[in-house]
Amino acid sequence: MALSGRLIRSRIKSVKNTKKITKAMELVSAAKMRRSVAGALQSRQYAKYAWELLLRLKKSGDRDFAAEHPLLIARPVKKILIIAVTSNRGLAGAFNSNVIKKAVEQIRNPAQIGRSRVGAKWVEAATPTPKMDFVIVGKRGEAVIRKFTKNIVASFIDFPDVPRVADAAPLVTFAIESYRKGEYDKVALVYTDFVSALVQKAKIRQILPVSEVDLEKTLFPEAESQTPDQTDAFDVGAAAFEPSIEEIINVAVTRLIESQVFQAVLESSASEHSARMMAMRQATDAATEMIDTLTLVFNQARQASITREISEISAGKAALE
Amino acid sequence: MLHVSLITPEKVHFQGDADAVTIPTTSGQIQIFAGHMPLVTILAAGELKIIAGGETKFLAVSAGYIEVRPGNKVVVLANSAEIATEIDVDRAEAARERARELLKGKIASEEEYAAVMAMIQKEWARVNIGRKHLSHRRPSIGV
Repeated sequence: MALSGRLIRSRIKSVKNTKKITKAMELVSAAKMRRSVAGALQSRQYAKYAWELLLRLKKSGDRDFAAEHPLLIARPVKKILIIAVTSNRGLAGAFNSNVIKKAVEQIRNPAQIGRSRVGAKWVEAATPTPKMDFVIVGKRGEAVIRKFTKNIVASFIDFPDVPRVADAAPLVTFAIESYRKGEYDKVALVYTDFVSALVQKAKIRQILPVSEVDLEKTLFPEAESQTPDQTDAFDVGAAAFEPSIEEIINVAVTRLIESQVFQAVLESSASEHSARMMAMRQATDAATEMIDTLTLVFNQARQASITREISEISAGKAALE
Repeated sequence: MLHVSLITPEKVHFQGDADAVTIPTTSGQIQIFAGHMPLVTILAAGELKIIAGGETKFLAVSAGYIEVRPGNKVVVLANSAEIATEIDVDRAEAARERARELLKGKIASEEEYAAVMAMIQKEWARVNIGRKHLSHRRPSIGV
């Protein structure tokens, strides 16, 4: 029994150490989550202005720029680029598997993803089975999605814990350039929407061609349908545009896509940290429970061995008498 | 009185009243006072000055656009903004060198060239503005 007592004691010690680690990871994730959430809120302001400007400019005077700008026109879809945002590290509960599930769902069910949304309408796909390429953010997603498809064209594995605009920029440049060149007819983004510290949902959103509905859902998720504040809107006819409206729309569209992707990346990062925080909290709770059980077993074993020793001694004494 | 907001995707850098703002744009530097007509134009990498009550704030900004709305509202949406005195000149110089190195490498398309040039301009502006506002002045570099 002495041996088993020692075994249990060392087991308790190792569980205690694990508990310390999970507790520390929980606290670290909580701090990182707060930073990501603050970043997501800050970037919303920027997105709001860019969004307002584009809405106002899109139909100015007698020209409909929405029908002219290459990033706003939907083409029948032959080939799709899917960007999936996962994390570099694991131990984050179901965070990565939810994103991966969502991405892999698209491979199995190409009919839905084949349509592009423009305004309130859908542009149907050119073929029932459009081709799909993937861009993966994060080591975790890359490793798993590679098992489902060979079409991974790029992967970004150097995103920091709390991403900055400069980190998301190459992602956006890649998407816009290949869309402009006509390599892809649609670009979609799979990310995790940070609803609250307890609830995160994997979502898929169209980013190119620019879709108002998807933009609104990514940038302003809490509003049912956000109509921008028009109180200080100017009359487009009375305003000056330098060098030209086309140039400005060009910049505004790019900025808007950038802020949409940046927002999604931040939301994903906030979700990752909160998922990890919850996972670590559960692990800490489980460790506490395990320590309690093991302590009980240890005490029982100790008590049993004492009782047996006493009974052995008293039996020996009885034999002597 | 103008109401100026300087916003980047990362944070709201400045929001408040000012007498005038000087803004670098792709068509040259402009200064905006109260009563300016509505205007939308593209921001260039350079130095942005916010003049309020005799004090001037200097910031290095890059890429974006500005909007002058009726009611003396100026909205500057920049990709990045940094207060001049907070620029780490040595690091800005290193960044500029990195950007220049990129130019020597293979450049496949016109868009890529434009992106590299924009990066060089941004870092160049940061270095110059940072130097200009150093507490101990070092000679400025010519362009």
